Amino acid sequence: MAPPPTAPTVRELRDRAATLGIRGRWRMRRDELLEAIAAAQAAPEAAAPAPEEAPGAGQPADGTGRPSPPLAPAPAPAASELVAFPPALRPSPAASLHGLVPLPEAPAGTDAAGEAAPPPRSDDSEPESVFIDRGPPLPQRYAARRCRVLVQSAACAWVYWELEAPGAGLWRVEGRDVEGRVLDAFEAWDGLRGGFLRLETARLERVHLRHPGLDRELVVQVRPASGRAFATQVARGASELPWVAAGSAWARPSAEDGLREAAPIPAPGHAAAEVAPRALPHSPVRRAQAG
Amino acid sequence: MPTGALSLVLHAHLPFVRHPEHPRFLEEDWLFEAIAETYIPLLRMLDRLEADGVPCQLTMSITPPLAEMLADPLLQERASDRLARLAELAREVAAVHAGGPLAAAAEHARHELEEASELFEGAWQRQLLPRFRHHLEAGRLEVFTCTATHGLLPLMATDEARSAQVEQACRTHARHLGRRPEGIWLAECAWSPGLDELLATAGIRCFIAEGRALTEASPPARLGTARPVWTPAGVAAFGRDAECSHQVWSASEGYPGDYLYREFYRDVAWDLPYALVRPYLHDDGIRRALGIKLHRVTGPVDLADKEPYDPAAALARAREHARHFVACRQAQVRELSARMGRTPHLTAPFDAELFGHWWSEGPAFLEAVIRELAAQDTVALVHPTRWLDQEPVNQVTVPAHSTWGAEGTYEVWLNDGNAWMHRHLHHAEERVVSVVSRFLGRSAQVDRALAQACRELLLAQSSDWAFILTMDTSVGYAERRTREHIHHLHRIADGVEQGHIDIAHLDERQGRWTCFPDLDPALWHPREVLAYGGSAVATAQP
Repeated sequence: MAPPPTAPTVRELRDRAATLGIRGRWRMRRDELLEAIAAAQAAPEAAAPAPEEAPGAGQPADGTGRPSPPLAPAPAPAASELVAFPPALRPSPAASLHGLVPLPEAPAGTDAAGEAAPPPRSDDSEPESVFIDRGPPLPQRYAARRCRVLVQSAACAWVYWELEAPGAGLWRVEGRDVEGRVLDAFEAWDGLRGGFLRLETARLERVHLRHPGLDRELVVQVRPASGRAFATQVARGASELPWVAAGSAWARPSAEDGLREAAPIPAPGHAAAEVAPRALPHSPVRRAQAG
Repeated sequence: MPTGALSLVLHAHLPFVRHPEHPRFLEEDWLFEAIAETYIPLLRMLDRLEADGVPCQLTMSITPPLAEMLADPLLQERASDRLARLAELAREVAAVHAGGPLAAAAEHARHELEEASELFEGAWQRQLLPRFRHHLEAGRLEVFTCTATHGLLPLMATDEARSAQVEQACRTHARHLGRRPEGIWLAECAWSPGLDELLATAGIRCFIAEGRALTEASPPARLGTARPVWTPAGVAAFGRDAECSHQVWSASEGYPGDYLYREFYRDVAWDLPYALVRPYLHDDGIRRALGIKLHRVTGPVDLADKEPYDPAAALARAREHARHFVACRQAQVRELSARMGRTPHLTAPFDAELFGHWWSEGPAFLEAVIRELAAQDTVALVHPTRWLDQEPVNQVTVPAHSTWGAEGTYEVWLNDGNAWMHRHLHHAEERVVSVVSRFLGRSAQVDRALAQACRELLLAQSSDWAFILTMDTSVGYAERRTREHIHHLHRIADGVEQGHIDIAHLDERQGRWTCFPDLDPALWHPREVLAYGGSAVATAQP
């Protein structure tokens, strides 16, 4: 059931979760956010937010993954460890909004979805959080008409599109293998314009996009149109990543460019498997010629 | 003749954060912390090695946004002010704890901060890049570049955007360090077949790759990560050695988790009375870490139960760990050499900020490793390009798609929390290419507007914003930066297309985002760009 009109939006719930220092809020659904917020508010005092971290912070990943503090992460200070602030030392609400985190320029306080920014603090309580300016709105629609597939891993691809939907109905997105079998599919309302296909990307041949208001569907050819498979591997599984966009002007240099001849790739175990580097023949296909 | 070789590669990067419109800005602290805790200690280490005549071939990547920030007078002034204020706080902390169990730790923090502040403001005159350049020219340091704003190349939609990220990076590197780079740290080690052609065209000889890029290459690298490989375009890929990484990065077994080392998460900001720390906090008065920490890791205990930090014991442990690390590398290259019949080469890449910021004893460990390596002849510490000069014969293969993110995929930068960005970023790329191809050269004013649109695009493309959304840290700031740059890019492009350029708006944007003053919008012109490939994106248009 849809939430009543007066219910907070997911964005507002996430903002509230942020002020309470709730981690992982981006991965939470509405009901999970409500539950987490209720739990945090039920605590004697709101938990202290985790220390501000520079980019690069994150959980250690046992020798893999992006930089992370290798120390076993310790919990943020519990509320009981925090020093109580004498009221006289608490900064004014104006100070909490001045300088550090600026108020948005009018009318930027309203985001793309028409949601109003939270009002400035009006009490003189101990500072706990600051207003978060998420920046100006971005276009909801672009003039381009297309569908794109970004391969995320061996098991997942992101699909987004820029097409107008004539009339009501849901968009349907299907990932299919070479024999046309549907590997995964999802439906989305017109405003969403994107979603993940959870499938084995090694078998993903093409993505179909259709809408009841359209008399034809759009197909993104994920495998190279030339049929020249680029067998690569993402994560632990073999997959073939998209290279050429059907009907687009993009093209990879083909075997005719001389690159293979310039630096041949020998078969595994071949006696001549090691060669000294050669100068790159600067003759890849120019974009102007590729189209 | 050494049995094997090792390249230590430190990746120094921060996104471009500069807010002259505010007297103090929270996210600028990232730079100030890194200067105080990592860059100054690393430079002091290099100075000591130079003074002692210790042979050293360390490798670093200094990303273009970091170089631009280190050279920026406003940020230099703010960093100096921040250092001076922290030194002042450290003196107060030392006074508070004099004679107590935390006295040694407080005195150590005071000494380190005072010395850093004096060096930065005094002898170095706030200029760190010339210090790096000094060691670069002396051969102690090899400096790689990165993509211009740490843009993740395989997830970009256009060849123009990928090419411009690389070429602008090389130009910025040359402007700050006097020469074009020979190596690159691809942002997030994100590699996609085809990028090597782009790198070769830019004059790049080698890049750092995740280990699986080699072990799962096509065909697989026969020697794994124990030797670099050549890509078809003649660029060398150095794969991360899992064993080296594990000993440092592992949360459970890595050196930095040693109980004697300084605890990162317990900071005086939460321990001291509010009245004492309030003057050193930001204007909002919220307690945030200040970088002065007086406790040690201790063990798996609550923060409240951490024991006092003993700097001398920690330093001794760092030296022990360095000896262990070098002994492990010796054993590793001996074993590899016997199995391979070739001279093995190990690549150990790390975030530079690990050394000092996250791991306080990191610079001491690194210095001890370099000194230990200099004192033996089994493992040679080498620059990657120097190694290629010595050992040019290597396997040719196509490294596999990979990043150094979790599971080697793009999941960190393309997931439910940040996938929305890519649609807008792709459109922004195409908008820039479109307006540049149609309007470049019309007038000086138009070219200036186009340059600013390109600058906005570069700043929006930083992989840090998607990363921050995933890690759930400074989410609001990351989202704002993405939206802001794309918004202004479109506003500028609208002005160019409509023949009405808002000069005041351009002045304001250029004054705020001062990076890449040499930016040439022609880098985004289709006629200047070759079709390289290297994308993980497919498109269909009806």
